[in-house]
Amino acid sequence: MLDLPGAKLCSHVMALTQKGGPGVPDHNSVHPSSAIWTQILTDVHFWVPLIVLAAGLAVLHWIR
Amino acid sequence: MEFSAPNLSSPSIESARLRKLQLVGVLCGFGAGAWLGAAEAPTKLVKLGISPLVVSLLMVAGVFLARWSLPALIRGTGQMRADIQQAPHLIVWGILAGCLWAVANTLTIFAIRDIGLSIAFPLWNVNSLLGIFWGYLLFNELRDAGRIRWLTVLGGALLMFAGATILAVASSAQSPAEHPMRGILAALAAGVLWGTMYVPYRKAYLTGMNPMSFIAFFTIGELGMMATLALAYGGGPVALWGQLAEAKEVLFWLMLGGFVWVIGDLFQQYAAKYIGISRGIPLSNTNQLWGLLWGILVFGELHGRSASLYAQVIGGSLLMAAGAGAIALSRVTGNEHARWKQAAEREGRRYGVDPGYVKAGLSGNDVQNAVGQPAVRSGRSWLDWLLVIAATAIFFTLAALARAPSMALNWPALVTLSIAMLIFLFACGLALWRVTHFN
Repeated sequence: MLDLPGAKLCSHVMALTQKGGPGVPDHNSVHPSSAIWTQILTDVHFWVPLIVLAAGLAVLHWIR
Repeated sequence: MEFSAPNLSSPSIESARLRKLQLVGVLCGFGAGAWLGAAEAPTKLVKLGISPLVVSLLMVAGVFLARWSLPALIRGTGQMRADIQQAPHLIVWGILAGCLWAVANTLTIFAIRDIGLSIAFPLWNVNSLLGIFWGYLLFNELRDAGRIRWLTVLGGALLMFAGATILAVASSAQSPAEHPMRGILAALAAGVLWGTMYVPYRKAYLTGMNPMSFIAFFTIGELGMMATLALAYGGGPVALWGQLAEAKEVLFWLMLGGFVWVIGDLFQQYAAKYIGISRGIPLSNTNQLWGLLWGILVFGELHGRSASLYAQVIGGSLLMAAGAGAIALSRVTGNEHARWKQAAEREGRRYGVDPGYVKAGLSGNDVQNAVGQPAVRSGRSWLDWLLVIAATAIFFTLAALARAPSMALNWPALVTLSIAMLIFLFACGLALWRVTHFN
């Protein structure tokens, strides 16, 4: 992995979208990326804000 | 592979440390109120004929610049990378929170245009009631807190609701706007969005993330959502560019509003981290009083109206402030803090976050030492300086193009309020540095 700050940051972001592999940090190896997404999508803390966001967009569309 | 449960209960954060963190949280809550209140003042420019979407987009652009440059200046981006290594899943919540903020902020611009700053403020500040609800339901806040603290928080919340109702009645009866109901709906919807925005905040801080890292990803969602809204509702890229070009003389003021908001939000994030959202949000909602002061003293809102309207607005605002004060004085007990730690354990188990990282984040200590990693270099890198210089250059360029809006302003009041904000900035910054070193 490149040792540039930007490259490191990108690799951490990529950890959310790729299954392991070279250059992907292993700090969260207990949960591979696909498992992280499973946790996120089954987390009520994710759906509550998402539903409220959709409702807010509907209100904005209506009043603008 | 099963991740072992973080042992956060032992040794617990010592009570003296907990007390210090709570004092810092309370101070940051009040500091947030002062800065967030001032940040809404530039939106008064909407009345000069600029589209609310353009106003919101420009504020978000200012926020984006501030949110990447201020953390780089204060802490360095190296610390941010270390945070993301530990909890990459929080990037998703950062972006989601940013989207919520962008939609809420746009709604407030419509609300201010329709019912005025001094009335719209308390309406969207009902977000604190929602914050208490989410804090209790999702993050164990106020659990095992005892009857007195429940009464204080609920009583405070009811006082705030009563104050907001008085102000809403005043607005519907006295507002000169064409669409008072639309303004009230926009303000209340903004309150719901902002109240829910604290769910991602609390999730991040229970996990141990530093506020300055979280806001960097927050701002990506914020700018992305705002740009999408502006393009969708502004008639496409060409029309939007035309509106931006027409607004070039006030670009600086709107982006400055975004910059001021970021400072207030930073304090708000530290308040949410150290005293929870059920107490942190009401405290930062003292921004309503600051908004009232800016609206009435600097912009001359309500000038020439009846004494009874003044009494209604001021009485309603004081009622809300009293409610917020009661909630602030409801100290977190050891039992309640133990429930916070259970919520943090749950987050740690779910996402496989290092227990030492979670515990260090909760107690405001150095995270790298806690997880046994070498300390991240605290100096600034070339990237940090590049961010700071670029943001400064953009602001100076826009300032050179700016023209003072032709509005009647009360300058002595403006200077006095600005000095008060600087005092808060100094006091909060010093307290955060002494107690947490911005950890």
